[in-house]
Amino acid sequence: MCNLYILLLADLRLYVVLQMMNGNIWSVSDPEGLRETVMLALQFQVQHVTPVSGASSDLYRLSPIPNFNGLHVLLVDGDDTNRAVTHKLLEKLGCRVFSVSSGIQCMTSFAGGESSFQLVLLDLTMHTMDGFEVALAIRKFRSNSWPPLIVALAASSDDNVRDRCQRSGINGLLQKPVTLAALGDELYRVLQHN
Amino acid sequence: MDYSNLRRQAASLKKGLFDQGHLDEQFRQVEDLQDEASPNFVEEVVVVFFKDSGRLISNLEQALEKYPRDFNRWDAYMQQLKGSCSSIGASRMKNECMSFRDNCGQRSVEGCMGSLQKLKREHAILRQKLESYFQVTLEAPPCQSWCHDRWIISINLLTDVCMFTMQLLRQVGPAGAATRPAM
Repeated sequence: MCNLYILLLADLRLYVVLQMMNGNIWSVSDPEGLRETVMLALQFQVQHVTPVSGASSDLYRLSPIPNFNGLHVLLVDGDDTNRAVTHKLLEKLGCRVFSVSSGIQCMTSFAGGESSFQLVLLDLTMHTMDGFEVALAIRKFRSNSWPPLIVALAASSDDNVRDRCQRSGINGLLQKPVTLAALGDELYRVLQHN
Repeated sequence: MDYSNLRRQAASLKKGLFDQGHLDEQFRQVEDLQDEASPNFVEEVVVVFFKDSGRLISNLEQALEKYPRDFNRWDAYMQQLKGSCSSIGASRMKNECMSFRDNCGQRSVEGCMGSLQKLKREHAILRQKLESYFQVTLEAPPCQSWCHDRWIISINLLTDVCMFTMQLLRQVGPAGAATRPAM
């Protein structure tokens, strides 16, 4: 955490002081001499800024990361690297995440009974079981609670893929690689519409 | 220990990785996930990536021998590898994956072999460069990467705000002065 102090002193000298975690202090001052006594101290916390999706790294926007308040999500992705990254992305969005690496594990998680997954994030490029088959199987699975929403992760989001998603009862689609902003937006959209 | 020097070194190594196209914006997404709860997240993901990709490449090499001209099978391996590469922002590796898949599409065995060799080379280079980078970053005490790049934007903005405030106060003059500080 970094603290930014802006100090406007009695003689209108301006100090901008950045106190960083490692204890470095950086300051700038603009000496001015004026009679009246004015004291102004503002404390800022440097905000975590998120890059605008798809834009160059020079463009940033200060946007709050959405928080899904413990939304119970089941992540199904056969690739270890992708699964690790997506799992953390979901946690960053305030979700409660359980990750599995195959369609079979996904179905056993549902059958487990303790599951109360509100949303399934499903990678379509798994090799052990076709992602669309998994989606259909989830839809057919009868449980006490509402059927979960399904958001698919795919290498491409062209019309062909979208069609198949709709026919498989999938509620949302994200193109890989997934960014925090894109994931947040799509989850928000899917939850709003259902 | 001069940590600022080490951080400069780390920043320079990282900049090189981006400038030379080894890494793309997706890597920054992964870095943004690192926090106090998981302070070594980036390195952990990278370790997983190299373990996975090493295994995939080795499986693919076996498949090239065991299943000659089975372009569909070869393509399936490469599709998976491409997915991993793109999720951590391994840009050059991803490009070689795509080139391999193009060669599968064109049913060119030579093309595939050539792409695979290039892919293995990029794999080795990226691994070595990231290892150097982590070695340096782990020697310096943790400071979020965003500290270095992005607070400068905030500083410029705030300095402008302060200059404006000062101008305003000058205009307001003595009559608008605030309370004296307690003695």
